[in-house]
Amino acid sequence: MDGAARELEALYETRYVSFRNALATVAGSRESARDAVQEAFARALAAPARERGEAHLAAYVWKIAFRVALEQRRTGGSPPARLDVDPQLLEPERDPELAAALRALPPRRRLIVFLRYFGDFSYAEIAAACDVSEGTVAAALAQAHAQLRAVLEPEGALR
Amino acid sequence: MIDFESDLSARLGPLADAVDDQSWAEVVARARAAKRHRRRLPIAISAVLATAVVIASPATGLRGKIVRLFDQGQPAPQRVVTSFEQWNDPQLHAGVQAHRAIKVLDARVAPDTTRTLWVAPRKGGGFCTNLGACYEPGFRYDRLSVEVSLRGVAPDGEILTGPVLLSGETTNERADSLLLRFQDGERQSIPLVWVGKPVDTAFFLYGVPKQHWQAGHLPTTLTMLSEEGAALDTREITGITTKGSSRP
Repeated sequence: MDGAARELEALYETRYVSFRNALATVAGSRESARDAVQEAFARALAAPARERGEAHLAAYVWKIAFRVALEQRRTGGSPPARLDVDPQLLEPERDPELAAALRALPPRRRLIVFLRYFGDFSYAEIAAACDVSEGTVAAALAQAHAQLRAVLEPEGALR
Repeated sequence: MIDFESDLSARLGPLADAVDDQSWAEVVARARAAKRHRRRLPIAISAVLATAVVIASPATGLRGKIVRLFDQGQPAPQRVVTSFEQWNDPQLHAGVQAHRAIKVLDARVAPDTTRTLWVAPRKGGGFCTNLGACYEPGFRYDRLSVEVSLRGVAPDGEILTGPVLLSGETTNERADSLLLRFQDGERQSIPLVWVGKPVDTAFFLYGVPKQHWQAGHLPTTLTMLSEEGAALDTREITGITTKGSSRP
């Protein structure tokens, strides 16, 4: 196994669960997310080293996983009338208040929140994963925090 | 805000699935199979937020919705068509009808820089924009969606070159225009451009002028107005950093 492959394996061992959890918000189930993450790491492993040579390996794998998840949704007959990317909590009933607050965020901003909190992505990784600047990520998260805080902390305490 | 981030993290944490069902052996097996049936890897997923940097500012303070009839829209040049065709990468199957792309609007993002928003329909309904988002058939979002994009930000948070861009869309048919308010009391009307069927969505792009990148002059809220001037939705504008603000 070459150095790049070992790096990929190390990423897998440390980040698999967080990748799967973040992707589940897009894929709609843990099983679909798991399959997409597995497939993404496999495609990354199969790719020539030059194609893996991005500064942020996590972002590189995420992009593949994200596309695989979208593929799955399309071939699986996703419901109409929804944004192409409409991430949401898998079990909103476990915290309906938080789920509703998250649902009120624009989908793209919601995805960044999930990448940050479920995926444990750094700002730089989110920026690389979404092909935007870190400043845009910071702005999106600041907006999301403000919006969520207004709903969840109307009198000061989150809970 | 740090405390809130911690609280939010603590609240989201229990909702994350802790089960660790990883299997590197399975990854390796899949990779071997993939090598036997290798395809070109997907292009960078600009998808979700992507080029959301291409936002802009109308030079005028126009009020009122601009309506584009899709069939009479200005066709996109070949470079834009080619860009939309990337959505038809085998990995995405977006079904974009790139050759049908039309111009939505031109917007000024700096005194000497104009950006253009393009939209292309998808087979079977829905559409994609050159800002990197695709929408499913029957897409509806009757509130106002607003994204903030920053470029050229110094480590201390000062925006050096910009642009600072606001963009978004709505499918609210009562929406007529937008009103942007600033900390210093200034106001700016921003037009909405409604693209008819098969898109049926109103868009805007706005480049925040440089004088409004400073504390005390920042944008505060963006309100979606009806033709009668009724406020249909108001969004707080946050996230524009200033000199000395902590940048993560």
